[in-house]
Amino acid sequence: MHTMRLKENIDLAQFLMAVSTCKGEVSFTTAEGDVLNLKSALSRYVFVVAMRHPELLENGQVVCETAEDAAGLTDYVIAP
Amino acid sequence: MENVERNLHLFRELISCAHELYFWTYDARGNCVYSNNPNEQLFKQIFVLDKGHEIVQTENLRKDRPVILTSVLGFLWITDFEPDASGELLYTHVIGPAFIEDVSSRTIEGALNKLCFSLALKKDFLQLIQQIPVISMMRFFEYGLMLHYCIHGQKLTISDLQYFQAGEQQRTDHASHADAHGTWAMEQKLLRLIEEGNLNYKEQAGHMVGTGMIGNLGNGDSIRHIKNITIVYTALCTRAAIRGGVDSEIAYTLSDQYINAIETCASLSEIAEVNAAMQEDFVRRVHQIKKQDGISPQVRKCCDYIQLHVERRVSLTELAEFSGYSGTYLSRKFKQELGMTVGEYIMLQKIERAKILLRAGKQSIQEIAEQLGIQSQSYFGQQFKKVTGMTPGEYRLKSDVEAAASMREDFI
Repeated sequence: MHTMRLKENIDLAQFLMAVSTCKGEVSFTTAEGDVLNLKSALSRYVFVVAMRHPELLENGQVVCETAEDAAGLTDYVIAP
Repeated sequence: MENVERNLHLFRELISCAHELYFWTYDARGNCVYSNNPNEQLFKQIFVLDKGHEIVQTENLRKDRPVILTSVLGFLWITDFEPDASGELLYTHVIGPAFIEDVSSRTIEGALNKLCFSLALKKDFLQLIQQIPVISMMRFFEYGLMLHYCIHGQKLTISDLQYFQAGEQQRTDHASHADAHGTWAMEQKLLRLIEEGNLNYKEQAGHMVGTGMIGNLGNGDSIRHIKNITIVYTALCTRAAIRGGVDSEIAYTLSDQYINAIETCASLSEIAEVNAAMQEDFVRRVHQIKKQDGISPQVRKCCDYIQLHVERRVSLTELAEFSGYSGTYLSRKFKQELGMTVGEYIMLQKIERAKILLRAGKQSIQEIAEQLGIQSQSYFGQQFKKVTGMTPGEYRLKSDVEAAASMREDFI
């Protein structure tokens, strides 16, 4: 598993479009323990709505199954 | 058209009197240059998730007609395009989002409850969903027509609307879309069969057609939801029939009649009955045109007119005025091409309509006769027997028996 943080001020919709191209699972984990499957339609919408709250974005983590997928998201994520 | 912005401003103000329904304007590069939504940034993201930004690039969508965009979550957007003086895209105007029936928001709530999210996360999302207005589908479509008029000064009908589904059929957490692809393929097949005027469309399209339903409509969906789908399907069938050669004015009038009939339905079986009648009607009309049965366009147009106005008295004078030919000429053409007088043809169409009403089972024979403009029930009965070989009562009984037998087969 490859864990990263979201960069600030990214275009979330563009980020999710990039996630769509990932081969493995990609999830976003909040500090409260919510795990959002970013390839699932409903979770994507929940994610976009939740990211209105900066603290969720700052304290959450993006988790990729594969290194290849993590590399494909470097425009939007940074190492923790 | 001049004063597009003035028209849009007034339109926005008028809609705000009735709904919290918001407007968006994107320039040719896809940048949002205007919105009156208080959560503009958030809903712009949602519009992208709904693939709204792909509409402009989608080649098989006309840029001179509004597009209804359907989100995977069940809410809708309307988009329409404003060209510049040279005809190039200047702006894309968007209205939305809105739910078209209350079931969608409850469905989302149900799906959300199945996910192991914290209460805070769910509550935040549901609060946003509850802000999205619920508007009847017909009203929402009408707003699309009004938007188009504001931009282009052109009046369209609901049949002119185009549809775009937020594309990726990814795994979802709510109602299964497992056979969405198959449903779409079946729908396209049906439309092609209508366009061809293929009278064997029921056998070729399979069981889905036999039930009069479209796609995966089970799972406890509301009557409203099924009406919505059937109305959209009616619009698609209308266009298929026009491509098949049916006169567009006749097709659009029929479309409006069937959509109104769908709206008055109170049960799934009634919707199915109207849907089946609509499909059959369009297929037969295209079939007659393609058969090249020696019927001239003038007579065919008169036949269509008679069928559209079968519930009232249509005189030869009125037909002559409609067609642009004299009554004498039309009388002769009807006799030559159809082997009957205009009056006989009109009665034949009334009997065909009576058969549909008898099968529907809601009205008495007297009421049906009156509805068709035939004051004497005995005269109606005589004419009905002359055409069908049985009385209206016998026909109704036979239909009920056949329908019951068919239902038993479906459950086996």
